[in-house]
Amino acid sequence: MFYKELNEMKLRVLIIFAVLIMALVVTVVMRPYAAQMMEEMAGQLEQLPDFLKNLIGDVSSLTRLNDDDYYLISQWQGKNFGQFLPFVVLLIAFPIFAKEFDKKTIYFLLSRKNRKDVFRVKYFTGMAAVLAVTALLSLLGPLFMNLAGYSTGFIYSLKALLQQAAGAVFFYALFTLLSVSSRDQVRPVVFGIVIVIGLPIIGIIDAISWLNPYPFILASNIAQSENIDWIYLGALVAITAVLTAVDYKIFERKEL
Amino acid sequence: MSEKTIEVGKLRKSYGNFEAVKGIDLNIVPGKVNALLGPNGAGKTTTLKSILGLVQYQGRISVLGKGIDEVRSRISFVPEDKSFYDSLTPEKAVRMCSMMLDSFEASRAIDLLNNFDLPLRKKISSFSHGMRTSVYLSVALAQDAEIFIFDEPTWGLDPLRRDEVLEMIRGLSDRGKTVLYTSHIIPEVEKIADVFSIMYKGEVLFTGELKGLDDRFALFSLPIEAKIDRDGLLAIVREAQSLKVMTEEREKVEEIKRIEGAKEETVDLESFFSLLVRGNKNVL
Repeated sequence: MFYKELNEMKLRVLIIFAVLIMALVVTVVMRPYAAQMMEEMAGQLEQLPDFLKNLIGDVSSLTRLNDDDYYLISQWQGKNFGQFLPFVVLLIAFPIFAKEFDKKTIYFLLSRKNRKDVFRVKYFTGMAAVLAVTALLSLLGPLFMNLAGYSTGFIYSLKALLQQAAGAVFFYALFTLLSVSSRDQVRPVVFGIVIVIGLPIIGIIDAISWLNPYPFILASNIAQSENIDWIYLGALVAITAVLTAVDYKIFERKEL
Repeated sequence: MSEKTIEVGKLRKSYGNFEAVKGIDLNIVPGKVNALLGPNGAGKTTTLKSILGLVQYQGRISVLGKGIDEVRSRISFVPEDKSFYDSLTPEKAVRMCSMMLDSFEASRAIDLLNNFDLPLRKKISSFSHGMRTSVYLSVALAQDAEIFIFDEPTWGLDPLRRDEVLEMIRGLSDRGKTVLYTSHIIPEVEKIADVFSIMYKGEVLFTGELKGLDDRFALFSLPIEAKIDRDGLLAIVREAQSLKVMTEEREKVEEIKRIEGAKEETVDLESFFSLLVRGNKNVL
């Protein structure tokens, strides 16, 4: 069954990977120009209203883009890769269960295999794919930078990777909830997109901005203070565990 | 061959306010083709889904003497909707099943696919409905299962292929396998079943052997104005010009024969099914 799951997600994962590798190459190539541009823009960005600054992050830090480590973590983990990570997770997660219900192939599986086994293999294969993509793309950042002649360490990327991995599995458990609840493939995609777009909007409201995991996934705290936000990380892992249990319960009781 | 196959007791299943299965009992005979015959909406598919644990239900079901989750690898199921993984080719589907299922015979699957004249290296998505059904059947029949469950297996097949599939299903019981098979097509059931149950509106109206139906039951056509005591009758149906009555009691047969204008008719599965369904308590 593991082979079947891998076979089904292989093409999706490869396309995602190829697109993001291109984005990484562009990020590395843009290094000298982006730093120069950002320094010029920093002054103008300081004039923006507060809520827009919140969306952008720490405007003053844009002047630090000449630092290779800072450039990579802010422009790759914190931007080009980090911002798309929830979409990447959505693309991997939404069809895992919903496609089987939609195409009625679930009858083949559930008449021959226990629900527990089916859930375990499907869920954890998807999660492994999400973690593999996250880890590879995170670590390829400093590797590509070094290959391009810049001096970039791995320590920031590893710290960011830890946060991004926790964020990715949280989104994976959340999107699996949509996938497992649905009988078609359209609904989980639509609701998934609403969630991905809706969370940053929630982040604008100060009182509930903690509900938005984007700043955590974008590792802005690591770019600024170099420290991992262990409390948020622990909370996300705990929520992910609860969501996983809920995903399983829904799948276990779902009627065909 | 296991002596215990499928035992269903007081099975109930509702969808909202609609009661699809109304407390039925069913015992599947080992090594035989057991047919579940009934019109659309009789509750046949829901009964199969309950047996396979695909829906929540009330009642008792044991398969091979155990809960379904303990014996899934010993069962092969072909659902009503025969959708297989259409991004695969039949060849890849066989490879996938070999890796996924313990009791799968890849060489047998390839033989069956060839027998159905299916291209092995073309994607299933490009196949016609009948071809897709054939792929599903090839995969299901290549499982070395003890119980084979088919839900309307010949739906959408051309007559030649249909006969071929029926032969294959018949062949399973010849090899000692137990078959549970649903259909609403009477001639099909007549062709391959050993034992049949008639389901109608969520109830099992009759279960018995197909062989010797005409010896066990008597069917009469009576004049429309004939007066008859309903006691001892299995079914009574008012038609445009006559009354049709069916009984299995010898004394009742003699009583009916004495009615003026009574004509005895042959009992075959078609007339038996029709009388029982039209004449059961839900209709009268």
